[in-house]
Amino acid sequence: MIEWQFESLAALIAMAPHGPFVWSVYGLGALVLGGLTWHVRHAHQHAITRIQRQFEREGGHESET
Amino acid sequence: MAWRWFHQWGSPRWFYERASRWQAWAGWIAVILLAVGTVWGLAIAPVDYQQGHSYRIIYLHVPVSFLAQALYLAMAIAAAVLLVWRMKLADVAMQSLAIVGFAFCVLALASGAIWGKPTWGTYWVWDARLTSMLILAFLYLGIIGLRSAMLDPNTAGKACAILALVGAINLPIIKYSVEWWNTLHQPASLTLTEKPAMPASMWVPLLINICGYYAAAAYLVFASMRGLVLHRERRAQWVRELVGAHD
Repeated sequence: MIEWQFESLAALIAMAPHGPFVWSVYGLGALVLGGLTWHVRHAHQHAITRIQRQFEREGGHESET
Repeated sequence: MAWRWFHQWGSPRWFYERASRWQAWAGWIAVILLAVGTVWGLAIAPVDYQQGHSYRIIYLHVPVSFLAQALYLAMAIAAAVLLVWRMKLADVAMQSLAIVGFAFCVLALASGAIWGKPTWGTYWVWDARLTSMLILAFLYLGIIGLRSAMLDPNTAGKACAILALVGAINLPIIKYSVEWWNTLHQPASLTLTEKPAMPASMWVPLLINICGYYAAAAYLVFASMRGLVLHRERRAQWVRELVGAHD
């Protein structure tokens, strides 16, 4: 049986009197996890793009050169 | 059989192909567990009679603190594998674990400092647990810095491996700091050997979030390693075929 600890969304946000501490931690957590996810996905895509460019510079497949 | 399994890890191609599936599974498990655990911890778990709502920081602080140490341990094991068996993938793993581990360590320190203000009346004290965690962050930073400062990747890998192994001495210091010294930091909230001091309605969401953050770390490490493997193996035929298929 789920029992919500807050009567309203405003009470959840306020978490009186600790809302600023709790939410700043979770905001920071979301920022770090989101930033890391973006970084690793971007690095993977960047690696693919670099290899494709190198491939194009070399004039396509090795067997054609 | 066991050795065959171990030797498979020597093949970057074998890892790259399988890690794609592991990464997807870890990502979805992380999203589901973190959504359930965080909502439960923030809105459904009962309020603490001493700390009030500030204790809800535990649902992020404890998992990321566990992970900051676990990822360093994984990095030290990868360092030993690199030095003994010269496995390229171990070097890639070290590189990825250092970045993800450093981010989790900074998050553990920051969340602990913010939690310290309403609980202890200060953001920071130079007690054994906090100081040893700060040293862990510097060790991570040292390993990342050392790698970027050296031009030859093989020499950089070996130097980082030695530093990672030497720094592993800090892990038991972090774990037992609350027992060896009189610290402001409380003892472990969850252990494998003892019944938790808090009720199930508080520790179940914590356990869910611990599993969720472990899955998130697995996703991040696998995703990071896949990018690094592609870069390192860029001259290999299988990479050229794979990247050609992306066109």
